[in-house]
Amino acid sequence: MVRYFVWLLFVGTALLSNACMVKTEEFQALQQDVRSLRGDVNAVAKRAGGDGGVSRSTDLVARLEELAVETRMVQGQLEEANYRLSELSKRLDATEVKVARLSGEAGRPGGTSGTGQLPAPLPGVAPQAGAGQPGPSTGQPLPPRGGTSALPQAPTATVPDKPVMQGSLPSPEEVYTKALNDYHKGNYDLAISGFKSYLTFYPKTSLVPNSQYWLGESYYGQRKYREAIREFDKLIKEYPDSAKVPAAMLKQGNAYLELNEKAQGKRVLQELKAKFPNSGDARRAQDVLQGLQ
Amino acid sequence: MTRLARIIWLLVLSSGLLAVGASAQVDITVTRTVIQRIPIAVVGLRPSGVSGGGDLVAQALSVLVDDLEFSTVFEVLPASFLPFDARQVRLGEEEKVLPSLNHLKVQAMVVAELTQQGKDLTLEGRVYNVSRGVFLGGKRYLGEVTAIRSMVHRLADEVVLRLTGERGVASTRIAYASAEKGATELYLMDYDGHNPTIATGNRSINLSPRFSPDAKLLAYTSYRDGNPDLYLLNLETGRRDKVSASPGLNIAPGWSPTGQWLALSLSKDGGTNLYLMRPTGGALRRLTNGHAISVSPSFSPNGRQIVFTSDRGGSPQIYMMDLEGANLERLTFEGEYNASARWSPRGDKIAFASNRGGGGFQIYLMNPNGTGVQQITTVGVNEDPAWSPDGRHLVFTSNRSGRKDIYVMHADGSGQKRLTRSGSKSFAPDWSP
Repeated sequence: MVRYFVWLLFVGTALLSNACMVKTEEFQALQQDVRSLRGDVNAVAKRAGGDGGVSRSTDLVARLEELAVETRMVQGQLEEANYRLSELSKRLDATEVKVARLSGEAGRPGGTSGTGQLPAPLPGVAPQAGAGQPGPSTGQPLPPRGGTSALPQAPTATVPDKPVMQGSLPSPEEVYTKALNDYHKGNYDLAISGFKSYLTFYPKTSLVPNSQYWLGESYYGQRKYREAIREFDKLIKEYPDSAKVPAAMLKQGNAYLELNEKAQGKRVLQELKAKFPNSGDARRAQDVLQGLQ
Repeated sequence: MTRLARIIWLLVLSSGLLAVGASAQVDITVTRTVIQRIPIAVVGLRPSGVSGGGDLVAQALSVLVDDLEFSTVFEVLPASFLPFDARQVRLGEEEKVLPSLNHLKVQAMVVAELTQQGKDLTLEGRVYNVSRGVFLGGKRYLGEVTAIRSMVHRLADEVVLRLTGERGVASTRIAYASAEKGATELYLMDYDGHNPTIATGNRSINLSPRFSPDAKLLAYTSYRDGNPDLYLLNLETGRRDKVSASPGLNIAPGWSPTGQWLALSLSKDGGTNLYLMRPTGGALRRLTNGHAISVSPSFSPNGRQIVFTSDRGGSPQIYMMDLEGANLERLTFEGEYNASARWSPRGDKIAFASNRGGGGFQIYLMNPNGTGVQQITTVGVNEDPAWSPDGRHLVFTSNRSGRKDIYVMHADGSGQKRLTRSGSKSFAPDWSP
């Protein structure tokens, strides 16, 4: 039953993923359209005043406005599709972790291994253990629910002949949220250990690239730029498709500049502009590069 | 125990140790998941201490009890509950009653005395840990009769500090806009709604007041000279400086936690985009691009992130980005209108207004990654949330009485209370540090 649910989630994720790609293409086409129309408007505006160019220019402006609104709508739909995708991924993570804990089985529903971003079973979970009979070697012993105010609970792993109580365990998302809260409060040391724990214990879940990003940001917040560069580098190299990569490149470039390694900083920022020319992060990179001149 | 369990245990233990280290001067350690108030007895404040009768004493007592109750830290025991006449306890003799309070499981006691010499008042207060029978500290406040409320507020904050290690909010103020006679002026009032005083008075439109982190400056937008420009009002000297006057909008400022930056929206380059500037007016840095509207910035406590409202996706939604204008993330996806995000000083929640339930705006809380959304108002239309400096309360605008007024509530939505009763439309509050 649980496997069936996981499979359904997977299919849903795949479908959404496709929908999302369509939207991205549509969005890029619209952006292109707006850009070329803007060029037209500028050209017409230059000639305006003489040969009836004004009315054409007015038409173009109206069309441009229309396209800008459309672009925004598509932008919104894209954001929503991405959100639904990430929500599904999170639910999939939670379900997989639950499946692994409950049955001790290696949950490999619906061929998740090919996608690269879907979660794999928890490390150390024995793949062949029988469902419903978790022995001492199956089922990862799990931490008490996160949160600084939580009292330590007796580790559930000491009662090997009973199913693990799911209610007392932190989900990947709980560990992530706690670490992110510590980051926002400026408790960078706690945030760093939180994100490191996440990366260690949930290495194949959907929030791994984000955890890797915020780990870099936590070091950046501490002005430990060398460490920040290292962690951003892991994200850029290991998760090149993550939405966080442009921001990570910007931060990495800035971190080099903070260390007064201008050539390296410029190189990374130039690379960001070349790889993600339409991103807001590339615009910020441009601002930084301009400031250097 | 396996490696995983061991590491998580270590994490839990180290968090615990850090918490203890940070609160070394705290007397009663309270670990609260739901609100558990500390039972406290308020004794003293004998009417005979003041020449003009008992009115001032009664006022002081009422302010003190209200402040302690509002803090959400204390439950003030009714005098009738105590085994002695609470009013007749003299300063210096209070230790005699401690054993009987301990017997009743009362954890804390404050004893106070008010004396008067002509126009001058002296308020003295002392705080005790009842269960350990320990004197924690005392203070004496001097002031004129007119300053009685602020003297009592300071005593209340001292009681909260001595018993929890965190400063109370009784001495804080609230700034807000009030529409009257065709103008919209900014006002300041005490956190409990008393002593409203006008801050602008230019008979123009003045909006979105924001206290600087040191509470010395108030940033706001004013149409005084025709264009919506950004001003800073020095609350100590009364001096006003126009710090941003680009063509078009200069609106909705937000201070960074260190006070080094102001984020604001400018429309000078097409669209309404967010910028960072120095409070002195220099070093303008653009954060968003494009033709969408991005407004209402609020910083995270670490000063690295900004939440704001943008219609870049077609409808106003809440987004987060960092101080470089990079790493943009959308946080809200439900409802056609999500706005006025304010980051809690504790870092773990963002308050915002949303029409997602239908029937007008309500105030919600969410985690800083957009999860865990929780509605905390239901009556009337409620908007413009702003946090108290301790992150335990929110001030907001509500039309539940038929007109917009300023209200406060605890962060869980309980204890909602109206503050303004001027008869004018009051809105857009901000809470001072």
